[in-house]
Amino acid sequence: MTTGGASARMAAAGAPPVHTLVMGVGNEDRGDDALGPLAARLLARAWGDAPPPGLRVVAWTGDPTGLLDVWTGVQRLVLIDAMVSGAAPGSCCRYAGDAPFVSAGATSSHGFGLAGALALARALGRAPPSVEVWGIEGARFGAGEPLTPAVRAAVEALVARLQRELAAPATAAAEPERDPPQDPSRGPSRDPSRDPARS
Amino acid sequence: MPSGPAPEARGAGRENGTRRIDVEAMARVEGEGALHVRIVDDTLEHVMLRIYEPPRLFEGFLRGRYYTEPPDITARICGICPVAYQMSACHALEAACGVTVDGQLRELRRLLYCGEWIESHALHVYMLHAPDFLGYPSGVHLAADHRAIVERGLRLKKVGNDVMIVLGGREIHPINVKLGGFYRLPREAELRALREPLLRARDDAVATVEWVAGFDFPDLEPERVFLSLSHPDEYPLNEGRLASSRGLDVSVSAFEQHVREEHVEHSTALHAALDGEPYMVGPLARYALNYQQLSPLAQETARAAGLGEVVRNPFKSIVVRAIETVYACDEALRIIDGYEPPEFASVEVPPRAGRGHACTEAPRGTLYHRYTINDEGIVLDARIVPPTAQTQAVIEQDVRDVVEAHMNVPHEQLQHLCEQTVRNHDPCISCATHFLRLEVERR
Repeated sequence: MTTGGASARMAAAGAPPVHTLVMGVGNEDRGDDALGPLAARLLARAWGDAPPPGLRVVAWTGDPTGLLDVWTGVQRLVLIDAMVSGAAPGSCCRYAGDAPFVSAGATSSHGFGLAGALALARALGRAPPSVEVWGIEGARFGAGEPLTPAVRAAVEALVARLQRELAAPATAAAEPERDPPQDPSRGPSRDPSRDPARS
Repeated sequence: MPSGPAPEARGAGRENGTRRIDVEAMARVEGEGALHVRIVDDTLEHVMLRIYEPPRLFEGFLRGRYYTEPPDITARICGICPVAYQMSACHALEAACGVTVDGQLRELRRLLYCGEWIESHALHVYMLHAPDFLGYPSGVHLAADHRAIVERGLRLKKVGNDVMIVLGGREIHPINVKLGGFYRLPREAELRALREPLLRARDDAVATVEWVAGFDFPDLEPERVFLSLSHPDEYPLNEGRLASSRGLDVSVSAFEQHVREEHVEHSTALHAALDGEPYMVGPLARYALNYQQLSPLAQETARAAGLGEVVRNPFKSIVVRAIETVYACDEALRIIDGYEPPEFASVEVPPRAGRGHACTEAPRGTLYHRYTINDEGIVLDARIVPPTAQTQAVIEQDVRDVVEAHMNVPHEQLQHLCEQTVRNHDPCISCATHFLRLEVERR
């Protein structure tokens, strides 16, 4: 597994082709926003040295505009990120296709969030053909705060599930786990204050 | 992320003769704050750039920390200009300890800073500012119609990031900077590998200047006081004297004698004045005060773009930012070509009781740090004056000028012009504190 902007991007050069990229995104120093990188680390640890062929796991804590380069050539992208939808902390939701994936960071600028990177990749024709987003509801995002226990449990459950599903041959994008939130502005979102590109 | 605010975030209309625009969240400006404009009977009553959210606590929690910590702690103030914070902190603390870092270590610091300029300027020019001039609500919309252009911007930004990765260990909040130099020196092969991408980036930067110079710019040439570092031998990044367009020429240790910060009622940030006057820092100020230090190619590119040696139109800051990107690529190449590995990755910086000051040039302007430490190296007090706090009063003046010059344009257009006027300064309001809402109220 590789971590973050720098090493992930550099490791991408010369590596064997990646069919499925699993990417946990977030700021490890901002409470439950750390759940994405944590999930990636747990998943990588679970597979050890023998991940399924064509699959790569990345914990992304770097500059979101750099994501486009890491996504290049990837057929299936599985993103894991913290979500703020109003659901109970630890609630887990899968979105596929054109998910109501709205960035609260629409109001940020330099903090170019995950949703922004995805929208930009699509505008440039560089988005992977299949994108699914796993959102886990977070409860706290303060600097230096620990992970909420319910979130930690949800991460472990998701990791176990992904470990099973991703070991099997890639299938068509699954249906949402539950109805997505009605208000698109409350879909999986990235609050600018927890954007990894910002303090 | 640079997409427009959600439609529901905006309100516009007339109520009982009051014309009002509310933008709950202003896109493409870093941080959180609000701009309120009130127009009564076609007369501009007031412009307030309010900045709220918690004031920076950094100055407080730096007290009691060990003197080696501020470069990494203050880097967290901003994800876009962490190098500026690291450099100002290092230089100020080294000054307190009576240590000067020079030779190739100084050059490598400059190279790291070039990386930050390239990535920050490229992001602002392409994704945040250019959409304003071309009528797109965001960089993503721009990308849909102009793929090759946006790809060029991303390519440019990536080279800046790569320079930061090689020198700083990663592109956000670099981890390789320390007092006295670096934890690890770059390998010569790593630096050489940056050469080709930088040559391409320099071409891309020149093409960027040509592209943005062709935009339509509102007619505005306000007389502003400029402040930046100035250095006899180089375009200022890490060091120099404080210079102003009023003839100021003093050591950075005199910063607080000339710059006074005051609380204003409508903001939790401080408003700064230079010898009692509003002033601005950033690309326009640096360019006007240091034109002669630009590389020949950067000067030639500026001339070809029709710029004189002083640019006063704040909307043309996008062109100057692009020229500074040409310079940063040129300078990075010069440093790489002349690199001779130093013996050590850092020099010793033993603590001693004292006070140190430093200014360095963040992409958006002069960043001042001052520290007092004791014999054990404990920080007794810290002062940080970020660039956006210094320019805040001028941003308000610019908005006032723009509103007065465009009083009769349709409301939506006026609102857009106000937003664009703020973005001209590439404000990093998270440094000065946090996020922007815009209200234009007409009665």
